[in-house]
Amino acid sequence: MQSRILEVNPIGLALTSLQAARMQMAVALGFHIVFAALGIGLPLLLVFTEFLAIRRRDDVWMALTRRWAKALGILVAIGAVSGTVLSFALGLFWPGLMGRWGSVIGLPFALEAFAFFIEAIFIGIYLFGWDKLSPWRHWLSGWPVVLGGVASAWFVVTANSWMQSPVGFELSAAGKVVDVQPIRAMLNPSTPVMTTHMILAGYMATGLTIASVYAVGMLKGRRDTYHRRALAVGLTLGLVLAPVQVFVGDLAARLVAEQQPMKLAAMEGLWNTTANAPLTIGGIPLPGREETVLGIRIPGALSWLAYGDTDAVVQGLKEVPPADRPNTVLVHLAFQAMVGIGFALLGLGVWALGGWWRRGRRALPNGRWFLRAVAIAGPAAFIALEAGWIVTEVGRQPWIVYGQLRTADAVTTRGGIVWWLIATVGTYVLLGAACSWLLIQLARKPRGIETTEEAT
Amino acid sequence: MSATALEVAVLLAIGAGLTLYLLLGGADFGGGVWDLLAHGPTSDRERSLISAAIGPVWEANHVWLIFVVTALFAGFPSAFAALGVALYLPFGIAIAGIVMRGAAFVFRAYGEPGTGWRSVWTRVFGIASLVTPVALGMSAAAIASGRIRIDGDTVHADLVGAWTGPLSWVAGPLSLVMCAFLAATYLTVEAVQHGDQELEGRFRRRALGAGVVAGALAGIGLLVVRADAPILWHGMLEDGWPFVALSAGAGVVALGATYRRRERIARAGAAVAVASVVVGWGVAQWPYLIVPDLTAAEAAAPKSSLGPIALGLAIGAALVAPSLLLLFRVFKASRSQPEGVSTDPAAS
Repeated sequence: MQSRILEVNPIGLALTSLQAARMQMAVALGFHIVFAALGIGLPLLLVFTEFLAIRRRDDVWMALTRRWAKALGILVAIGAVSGTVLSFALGLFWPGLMGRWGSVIGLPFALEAFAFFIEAIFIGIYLFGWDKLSPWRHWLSGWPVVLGGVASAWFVVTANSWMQSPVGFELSAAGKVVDVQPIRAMLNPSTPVMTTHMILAGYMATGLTIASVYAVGMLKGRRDTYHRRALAVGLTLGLVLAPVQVFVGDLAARLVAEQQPMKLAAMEGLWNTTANAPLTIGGIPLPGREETVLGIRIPGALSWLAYGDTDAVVQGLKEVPPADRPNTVLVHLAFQAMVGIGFALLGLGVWALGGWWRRGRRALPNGRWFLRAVAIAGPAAFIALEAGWIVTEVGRQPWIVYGQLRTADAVTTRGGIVWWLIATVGTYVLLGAACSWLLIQLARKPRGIETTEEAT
Repeated sequence: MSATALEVAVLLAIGAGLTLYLLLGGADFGGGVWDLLAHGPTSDRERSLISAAIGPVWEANHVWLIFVVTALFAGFPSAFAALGVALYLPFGIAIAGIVMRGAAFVFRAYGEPGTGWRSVWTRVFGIASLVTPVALGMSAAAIASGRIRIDGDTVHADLVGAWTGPLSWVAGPLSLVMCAFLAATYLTVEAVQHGDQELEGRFRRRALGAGVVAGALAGIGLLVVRADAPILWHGMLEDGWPFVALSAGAGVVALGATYRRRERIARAGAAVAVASVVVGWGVAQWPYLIVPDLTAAEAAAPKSSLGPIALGLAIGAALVAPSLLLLFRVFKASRSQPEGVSTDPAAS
């Protein structure tokens, strides 16, 4: 099989085409998702802050709006080009997926193009229209950006949901895909929960990242209104959604239990099929010994979480041969990281709420330890988001379309994928560094100068 | 098997998207070409005119490509899969150009003026703008010239040879020069709106030069098509010739109008001339999506998915068309702007 061919490459890594293509896709997705999440979340913050700025004729809210709009301009551009990479990459690296299943999952991608159109058109109007539109019209032009961003995320995630729980087609006796129903495919069983989980994650990660930036500023002594408001807005968005996200995450885990039992087993590091299955917190799966060591086990908790019954039987990884199991170490650890961060953010929310209550419901806590916690909450939220996608995607393996098409059978017959991988990593490291540098410069720019500049 | 009305409708939408990508997105790449070639005392003004012209619209213009890619893959999935295999290298090169062009453009726009940062990204922006039109033009020629063979589910195409035949060597440069021609005519209008006569003169001369080169390349292209792409040539003689004539006529009008300082007529003429090349190509290679083994009917998704796709395209178009009109009305309206108003987001 082509995918077993070992490729020679300059970094001395022996990778098969399949491994290289999967790593290439992981890098391309992992990079894009950061910009996509911020591109969904920031416009929502902007329409909020700009509303207050116009309504209250408030210079501080306007200064925040203008500064975040600039950041959005940079982030959306990188999101747009890195998203284009993905639309091509599907054809370049996974022609076996596109050729056979394109008619089933093409629809949401085509619709996503329109959602992105709306986003891109109005981002142009929003970013460049400050002097050309009246304040309220300008504010209105932000809304299509908010809605277009959410809609594009929704459409794209429906396609991924379908890869987890493929429906909306029949297979003929000869194995051909027939009776295609793309709308049913789009509204597959995973769609409601996965799309909600991702959109919430995008909002949370954005809000907390904004809060982080200003927490760092406050830790450096810049405790003015500008910083306090920015932190409050970002933190509120991020933490109000945290309990909702824990609830949706629980639904997501039940969905996985129902649709992809081996993914659940990998997430939990569960090797043997058991009734009254324990929930393993932490721990390291050892695929060689087919056991998970060092974890804390809560008896029956997994059965209860997955099926609402402590005596329910949960399938273990040994149900299928080793070749059909996902990378259990990676999936389990990523899942633990995501859940751990999720609950830590919930705790931060309780902390913030308690402090706010004690301060007469007028201000958030501003102690150094609280600010330090907020400062790491933004990066932590993005780690959780990436970890969630690792669980979703690595946990689906060895399938690209769960139960229907193996990833190994979808990969291109072309060689040299490792060169794409190297080029992608190199490019994205460069762009990521340049983008971060530019954003840091933007954040450091003294505000006084900006406000006078912007008044012209 | 002949194509159904539904298949034709979706294919026409894709063709329209491709044409608009060339007319709008292509012109943004052309702007990058002039940005790269800017020199002398007016180079800063030229670059800021180009930035101001591209800034608000390039992302929207870029979405036409995403639309073409996703609609092709939804509506004609086997063609998309085959192109992914056959054009593995040129598509990768085009993508690299797209990423670097877009990133460099915003990095430059938001960087501090007069810094090394800006000059580095200016250079990257210009060079990346050359790459994508050439790679996509060469790919188009690969599709038309019969170098991609498809046998059942297997694609036979040389990794390099498929897109480096004689026609590709004309189509690559031609698409770059067409982009530059479009950009020069559009920028002439922008310079007139800004009341900058010096730049107006520069872009007018560039439009004339690029237009003449594009016309010459298109003429050479026809001869190469005859020798290198017999199926396309046949289709051209049969159905495509009116578009060849239209393109030539519009090109002459555009050049004449440029010379006589009728910059709006020149812009329209250039757009018609370039659009006719794409439309003529499409008509001439009908019914093939990939010459000579894959027709549109063979590649099409089943009716049950084309129906919702067509409906989605109609709804999407109904939302996008007025939004685009608004975008262009806000930023490209004919009223001339006072001197010195910058639409550079970093400076405003």
